[in-house]
Amino acid sequence: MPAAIPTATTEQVTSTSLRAKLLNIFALPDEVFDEVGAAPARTANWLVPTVIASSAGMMLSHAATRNGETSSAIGQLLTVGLAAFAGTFWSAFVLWFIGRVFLKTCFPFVKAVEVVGLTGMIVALGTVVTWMLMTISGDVAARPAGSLFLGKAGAGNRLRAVLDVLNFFHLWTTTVLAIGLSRLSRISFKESAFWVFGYWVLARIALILLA
Amino acid sequence: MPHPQPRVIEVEHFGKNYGHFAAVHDLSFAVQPGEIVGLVGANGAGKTTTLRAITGILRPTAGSIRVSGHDIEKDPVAGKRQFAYIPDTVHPYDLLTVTEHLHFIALAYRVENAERQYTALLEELELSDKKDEIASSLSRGMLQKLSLACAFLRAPRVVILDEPLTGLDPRGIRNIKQSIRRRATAGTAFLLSSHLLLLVEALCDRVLILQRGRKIAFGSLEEIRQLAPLHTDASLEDVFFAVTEKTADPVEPSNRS
Amino acid sequence: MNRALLYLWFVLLKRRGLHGIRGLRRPTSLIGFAAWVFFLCVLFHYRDEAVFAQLVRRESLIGGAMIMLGGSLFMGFLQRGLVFEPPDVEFLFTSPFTQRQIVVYRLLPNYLYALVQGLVFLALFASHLKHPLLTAVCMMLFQVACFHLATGAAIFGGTISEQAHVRVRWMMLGVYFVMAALYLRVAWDLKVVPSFMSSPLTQLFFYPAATLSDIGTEPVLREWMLRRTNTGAFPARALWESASYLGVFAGSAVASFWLLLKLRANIFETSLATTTRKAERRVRLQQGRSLAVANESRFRSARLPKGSLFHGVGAIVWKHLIVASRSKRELVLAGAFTLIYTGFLAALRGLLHHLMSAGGELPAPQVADFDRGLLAMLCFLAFFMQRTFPFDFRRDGHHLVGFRTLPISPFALALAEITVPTAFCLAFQAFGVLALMIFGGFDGRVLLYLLFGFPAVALALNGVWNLHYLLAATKRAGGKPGSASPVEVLMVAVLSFLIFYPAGWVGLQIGRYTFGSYSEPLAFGGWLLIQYSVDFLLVLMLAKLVQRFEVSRDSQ
Repeated sequence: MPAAIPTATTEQVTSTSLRAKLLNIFALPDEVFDEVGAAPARTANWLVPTVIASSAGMMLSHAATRNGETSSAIGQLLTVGLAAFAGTFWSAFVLWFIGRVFLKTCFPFVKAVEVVGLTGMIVALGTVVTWMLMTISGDVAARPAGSLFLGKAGAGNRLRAVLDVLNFFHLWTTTVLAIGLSRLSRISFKESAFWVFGYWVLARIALILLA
Repeated sequence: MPHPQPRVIEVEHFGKNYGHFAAVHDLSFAVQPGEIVGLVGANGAGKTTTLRAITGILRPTAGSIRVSGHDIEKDPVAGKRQFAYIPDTVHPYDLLTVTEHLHFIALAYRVENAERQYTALLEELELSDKKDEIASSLSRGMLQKLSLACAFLRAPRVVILDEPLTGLDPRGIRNIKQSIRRRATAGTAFLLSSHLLLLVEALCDRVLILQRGRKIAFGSLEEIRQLAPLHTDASLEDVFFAVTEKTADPVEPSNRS
Repeated sequence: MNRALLYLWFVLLKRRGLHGIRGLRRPTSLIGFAAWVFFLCVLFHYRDEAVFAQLVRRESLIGGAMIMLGGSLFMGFLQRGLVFEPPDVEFLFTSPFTQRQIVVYRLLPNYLYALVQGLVFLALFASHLKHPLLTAVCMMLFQVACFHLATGAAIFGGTISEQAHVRVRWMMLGVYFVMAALYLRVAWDLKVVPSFMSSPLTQLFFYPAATLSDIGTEPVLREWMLRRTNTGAFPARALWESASYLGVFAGSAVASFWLLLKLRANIFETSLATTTRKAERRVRLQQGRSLAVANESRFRSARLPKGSLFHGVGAIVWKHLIVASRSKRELVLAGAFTLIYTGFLAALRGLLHHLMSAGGELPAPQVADFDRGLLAMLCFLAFFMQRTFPFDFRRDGHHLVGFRTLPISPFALALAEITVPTAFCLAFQAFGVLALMIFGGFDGRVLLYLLFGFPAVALALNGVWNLHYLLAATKRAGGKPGSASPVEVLMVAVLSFLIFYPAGWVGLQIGRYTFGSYSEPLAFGGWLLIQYSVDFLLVLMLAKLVQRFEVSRDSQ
C-alpha cells in the first residue's frame, strides 16, 4: 500500500499568511511546502498565484504584440490566460502521478495543485524579467536562457529550442517543484529531483530533439 | 593435558539483517567433531537463516563463520568441502537418476573410488532398487534419502540437516537415526534443525535454542534444565517452553562453546 | 570449467532431449512440434524471396542488434539476480564451486542457443549475404556478448536497492526510447515524435517551466537535415576487413566475458531470492492460480451487502467483484489495451470524418457499412478482454471441491462464475462504443444490435474459455497436472471462433432467403436466437463439468 503522508503532529509548523507564502516561495520554498502539506487545503494558495502568473503572461503577450513582431488577437490573450490554469492542473497531475506510481507515496491531488500553483509566483517573476529583456534588446525571442547567447541568429531552430528549455526561471521552478514533491512525499530531495528534472527538463529536451 | 579438539563449526557474533529487520543477532556457538547439536526454535526464530549462512548461501551482516577453520566468506570453496547440507525440501535434478546424482557429487567433491561406496550407501538407505530411477519418480521420503546418500558419499566433517526426517516412514526414521549415531561415533559432526523435540532430545548431545534471532540457551539438556525451574526429569519440550516463555536475558549455561 | 559441472550439464541436456522426444507421444505435443517443423520448412522453402533480403539489410541488422542489446540489458536488469533451478540452489550453491564456475555453468545453455540460432540464421539467409559464414559467426558472438551483458545486468540489478533499481529502470527505458526514435529517424526516416512536440504550444505540458506568452504563438519549425545511411547489400570486403570484423566481435564477446567474471557481487543471495520467486510463479502456474501476487496485504474489508442481489449464488459474483476491485494491475492493463484498440478504431473513423469534411464524398450507406465494420472489430475486443479478467474459474479453479458443498445449483454456479468477466468485457466495450460515437453515427437499429449482440458474443467467449479453465482445474482436482500446453490453448482459441459458426450460418441463410427491409432484422434475430442457445449450452456444459468431475484422494 502506498505510504500515506504523515500528519505533522510532532513538527512545529508555523502558519503564515498567504502574502507571506507568496513571498517566501522565492527564498524558503521548503518551509512554505511544509506548511502547505500540514495545513488543510486552501484554494487561495494556488488560485491567487496562478492568477498572478496568468496576468503576467497576458501582459507579456500583449507587449510582444505591440512590438509588431507577432500577431496577438484576443483569442491569443485568452489562450495565454487559460494556459496557466490548465498547466497548473496538468503539472499537479504529473507530480501526483510521480508520487503515486514511482515513489509509492500517497498525497492528495489538491496538495500538488497548491505546490504547482505557488510556483506560479516564480513564473510571474520570470515573465517580468523576460519582458524587461525583450524591451531592452528589442528582440521578441529574448529569454533569460542559454539561447540569449545565440542572439537573433538561429531563430526557430532546434538548438535554440533546447537552449530555451535551459531558462533560468524554468530551472528554478523545476527545482522548487522537486522541493515540493520531496516535502509532500517525505523523501529525499535527490530522489524527487531525479523524477522532476527527468520529466520537466530531460524528457522535454528529448522530445524537442526527436520531433 | 589433552589438546582441545578443533571445532568443525565456529559461529562468532553472527548477525543477519534484511533491510532494517534483524533475522539473527549476535549469535555465537561452536560444534565439536563427533557432536550432534540440535537447533530448535519457533517459526521465524532464525534457524534456517543460520543454517544458510553457515552453508554460504547467505552472507553474514556481522560476525564470522568458520567451517573446519575455513572462513566461509573469505574461503568459501575450501569451507564448502567440509560440510554437507540437506535442506528441508529436497529439490533434486528431476531428470537425473539416483546413481547420476551420486556421480555428480563424486565429481564435484573429488571422491575417490566413489562407485565402490554406492552399493553400501544405497543399501543402507534402502535405495538399491531405485538406483536407476529418475528423481522425479521418487517419493518425498526417497528424495530425502537420496539427499542423505549424496551427503554421506563425500564423508563430510559436518552434516547440516534442516528437518531431516520429513516424509520418512518409521523404518526410514530409525535407519536414519542409526546412521547419524554411527557416523557421529566415527567423528562426523551433525547440526540438525528440527521441530520434533523428541527427536532432538533422543539424538542430540547439545541443543541450541533460538528465539527471535537470539540465542537463549545452548548446552546439554541437563545444562539447559538449570535455566528453568523444572524438575530434573523434565523433557526438552517442557524445558523449551519454559525457557522461551521466560523474559530473562539469554544465559550461557557453561563455558564450553 | 569444473568437470562436475560439465558432467551435470551434459547429462541434463541429454535427458531433457530424450524427455522431449518421449513427450512427442502426446498428441498435443506432436501437433505443436509438427507445426514448428512445418513453419521452419516453409521459411526454408521461401528463403530466396526478397523479403528475407530485406531482413538482412544493414538497417535491419543494426535495428535487430539494438533490440538484442537493449533487450538483454533491460531483461537482465529487471531480473534482479540470476535465475537458477531449485536443485541448483541445493547442489551448486553449497558445493565447492566458485561463483565464476557457477556463472559459466549458467551460461552454457545460452552458448548452445547462440550456436543453434547462428546455424538457423546461416541456413535461412546465406543466399542474401556477401559473407554468410562470417556474418553468422559474428551474429553468434554478438548474441554471446548479449548473454554476458544480460547476466552481468542481472547480477548488478540484484545488488542495488529497490529505489535505485526503479530509477535506473526508468532511465534505461528513457534512453531506449531516445535511441529507438533516433534509429527510426536516421535509418528509416520515420518520426516517432510528432513535430508539434517541439512547438512552443507544448510548453503547456511542462508548466510552470514555461514561458506563457509563447504558448499563444504559432510554432515555427524547421526540419533537421536528415542524413541517410547507404542502403543496400554489404559492400565487398577484403580479407583483412573480414578479419577485423571477426576480431571486433570476438573481442567484444571476450571482453564482456572478462567483465562479467570481474564482477565481485555475491550471486548466491540475490539469486536465491530470484529463484524462489520464479519457482513460486511456476507452482502457481501449475496450480492454475493467478501469477500476480498482491503487493499489498492489508485492505479495508468490504461491508456486507444489504440487498438480496448478492444472496445465494450472487455471493460468488460479489466475491469476484471484490477481487476485481483489488486487481488494479489487471484493470489498468485492460484499460490501456482498450484505449489503444479503440483509439485505433476511433482514429480510423476520425480520418474518414476528416476526409469527408475536406470535400471527400462517400454515399451514406457506405459510411454506415464502414461504421458497422468498426463495431464488428470492436466486438472482437471481447476476445482479448476476457483473457485480462481472471475473475472466473481461473481464480476459483482450486476451490471446486469446496463449491460442491455449497447449496447452489451447478448451472447457477457456472453462470455466476462467468458473470463478472462478461460484465467487464461489456463495460470496456461500451467505452469503445462511446469513443466511436464521437465521429460515427449509429441509428437506433444498430444500437439495438449492439445491446443484444455484444452480450451474446461476450458470453460465448467467456463460456468457451472457462470451459478450458474448468477442465484444467478438474484435472488438478483429480490429481493430474493441470497446466495446458500451447497447442491446447491454440485449440481453445480456434474453438472460440468456431463457436459463432452455427449462429453465423443461420443468420446468413435467413438473410439470403428473405428480402426487403425486414431481411436484416430477421437475420440478426435468427443469429441472436442461435447464439444465445449456444451460450446456454456452454453454461450447461460448465455446470455438468462442475457437477461430475472426480476428486483425487490426495487433493486438498
